[in-house]
Amino acid sequence: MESYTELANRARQGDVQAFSGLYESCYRDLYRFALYNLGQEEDARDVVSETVLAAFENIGKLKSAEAFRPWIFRILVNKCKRKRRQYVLRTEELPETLHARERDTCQEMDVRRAFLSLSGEERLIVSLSVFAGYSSSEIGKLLRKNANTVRSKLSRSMGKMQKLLED
Amino acid sequence: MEEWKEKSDKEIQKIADQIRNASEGIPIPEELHPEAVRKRLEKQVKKGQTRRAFRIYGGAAAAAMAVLVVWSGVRHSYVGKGYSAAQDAVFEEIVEEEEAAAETCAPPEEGNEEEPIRTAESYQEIYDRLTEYAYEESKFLEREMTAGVSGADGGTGDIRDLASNAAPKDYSETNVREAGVDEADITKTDGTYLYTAAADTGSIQIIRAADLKVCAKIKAQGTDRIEELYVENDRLTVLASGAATELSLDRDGLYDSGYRTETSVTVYDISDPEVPKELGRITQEGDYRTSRVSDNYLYLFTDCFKQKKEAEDVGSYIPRMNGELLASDCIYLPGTQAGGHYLLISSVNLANPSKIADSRGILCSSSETYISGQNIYLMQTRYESGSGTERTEVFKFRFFSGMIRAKAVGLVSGSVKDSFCADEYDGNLRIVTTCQKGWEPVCALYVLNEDLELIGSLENVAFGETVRSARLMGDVGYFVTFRNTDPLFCVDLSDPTAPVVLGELKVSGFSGYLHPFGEGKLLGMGQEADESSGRITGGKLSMFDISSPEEMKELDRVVFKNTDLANLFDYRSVLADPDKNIIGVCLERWDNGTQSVNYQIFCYDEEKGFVRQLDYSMLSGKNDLYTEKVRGLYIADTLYLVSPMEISAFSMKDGYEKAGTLVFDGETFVSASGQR
Repeated sequence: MESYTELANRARQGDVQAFSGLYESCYRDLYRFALYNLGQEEDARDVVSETVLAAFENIGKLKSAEAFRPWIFRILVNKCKRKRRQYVLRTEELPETLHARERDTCQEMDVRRAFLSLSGEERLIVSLSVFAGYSSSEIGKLLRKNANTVRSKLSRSMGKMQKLLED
Repeated sequence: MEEWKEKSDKEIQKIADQIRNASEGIPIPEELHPEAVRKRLEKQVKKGQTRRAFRIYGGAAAAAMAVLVVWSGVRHSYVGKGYSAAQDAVFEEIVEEEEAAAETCAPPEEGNEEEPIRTAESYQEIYDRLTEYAYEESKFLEREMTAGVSGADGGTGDIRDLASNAAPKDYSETNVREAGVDEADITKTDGTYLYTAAADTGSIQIIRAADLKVCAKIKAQGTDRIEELYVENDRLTVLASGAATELSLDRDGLYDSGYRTETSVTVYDISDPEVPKELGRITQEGDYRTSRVSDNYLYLFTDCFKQKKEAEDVGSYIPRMNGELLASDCIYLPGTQAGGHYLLISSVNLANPSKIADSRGILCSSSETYISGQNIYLMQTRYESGSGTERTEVFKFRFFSGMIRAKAVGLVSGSVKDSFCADEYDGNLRIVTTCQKGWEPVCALYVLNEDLELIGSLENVAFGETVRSARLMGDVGYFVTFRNTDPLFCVDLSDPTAPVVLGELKVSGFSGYLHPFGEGKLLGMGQEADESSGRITGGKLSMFDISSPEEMKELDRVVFKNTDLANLFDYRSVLADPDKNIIGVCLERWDNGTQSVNYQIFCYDEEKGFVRQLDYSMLSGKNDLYTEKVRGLYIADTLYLVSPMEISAFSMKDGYEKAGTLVFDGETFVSASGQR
């Protein structure tokens, strides 16, 4: 079993298999992050796809193995933001998940709905914390916000979600 | 509003785990599995299609797949400031990574966030956009369709401690749309003096209320026409319309003279109202639409139509703010096309009124403006020819200490009647619209979150009817629809994702304006109509019992046959104060081409209902009275009626006996006996 650092070194030199090894360590979280932020499966898939490609092409810039995960998430965050802006132009009114207002016993649907009730910024903060594993100060740096502001927004959003998940 | 206690790290961890567990089961799409990704990447490397470089500069045609995927076919996309179509998408990632690595730790500033509506890169871009629009428009007109859009929305001296204004005032203030956000009006009082431009658009008369003595007069500059004013904290702020001449160079090198309409804001020191002193003035191109004052900043909205000439003649298509061309990065270009119509917004610090603090322009033809305590919502109706329906586009701008920033864009079905049909509460925007369903109208209520994303809706209400009025108050909202009768709906808005109708009351006629009147009561001002035909038969006042939403009742009504309630034109003219128990209505009637105007005062009694206390016939004279300029206001126990022709005082405690009158003689107000 290769170590993470070895994988990173080889990936930096263009080794596709090594890169996919790095990718494997976070691909599930990448997809879930995109899904909860965008609310649509197709868009989440596209956005992750683009992110993977962008990451592969620029892997030469990677400074260290530890930086891989936050780095690829940063790319994903930007792609999600840009995707969400395009939503305004859409003529369909609601993403499918919002129409499902019947008491859905599926817990996963509850989580999705809970995410969608948050504002775009709150969604980003929560998913960065839960799926990308960022700390409040790391989120703060990424979103150019004060860490304390992030902490209280995170607390408030988590509270909102908890309330919805308990209903 | 629940107080949110900071959750402990442990609690947050617990919820995070809950979320992670719930999402364990989500299937990841096949093509994102590591094996599939590896195969795809290997294929690409083989074909030599990937570019592995450290820096890709904008302009270099990038063949990378990523670029094609991101930029495909999005013509009017909303992109952040500074991005251009030529730049490689991946380049941005690299730049951002470098920035993040630079550890700026910039302090949190409202203005630094990315704005969701694109700003222009250069004046040339705006010129090109307007040219493109002109071409589209001529094709549009060829198809004989009408666009469903309409246009209408530093310093010396100390500012007195605003805390002193918290004391309850015993004089009436302008009936504003949003508590805490002041609006201008044609007549104002500060509890001691009356300030009015009702009689003469060229001057403001300052009258001492106690003895109805004219103390001072402020003349408008040149040929300016005074629109409205503010009186607050020893400051009188005057909004006026005028024109500025300008020279422009035409194609043959000759100068052409023309003029542009301008709105001015002049601030006076009225610490001694009898001797007003001018402190500063700014101008903004365009026709005055509206303004607001909040936190000692004035926000001015004008509509500016530009007729562009050549690209070099920048002044022909870029508006001027206090004489200076508005910068291209302060001009928003939303996706929807609009001709040379700008909505301009500026802020002025009333303590420093000689300069504009911040300015923005947006190329749109917004029909309604709603301004809350923190945000500006511009609503533009868009007619979609394909489906034959109307939609309302909402542009949200946040304002804060004079700064104005674009925040979000949203879209809902239908059109909005007036600014009471939109309401912000707890960060969410609730909006009541009238939609088209085939040939019939139908009503709806939508809830949008902070980013103007749809989170809740109530549709297909009152099929066949249109929205006539609305009053949304926190967790509950009321709106009136009408075709022949007036259903008053009560909606539960406590869950923003699920607005629900709680009750409905049908009465004849309809209310065009709703006003909360004490505990469990709602006052409606509107019109009476024949129940079967829907034909309007007169004006109406209604008092509704809303204490129980499922069983709303009309407690009492007053009908004014063949008469109009002039107050319905402008909510600021409404006098309705539940604490003082006073309701004032301006009634206008036309008989055989003769106008008669009466001002009536009512109080509401639990047992007797509406009780009329005054019926005063206002002077109209040879020229008709502009009833939209009539105002009723009180100071302590005196009622003052201010119209373009007279100012009359009535003693409220003595059965509204007349206590004095001033009549306008063409230049100033004189006492009825002829003395000044």
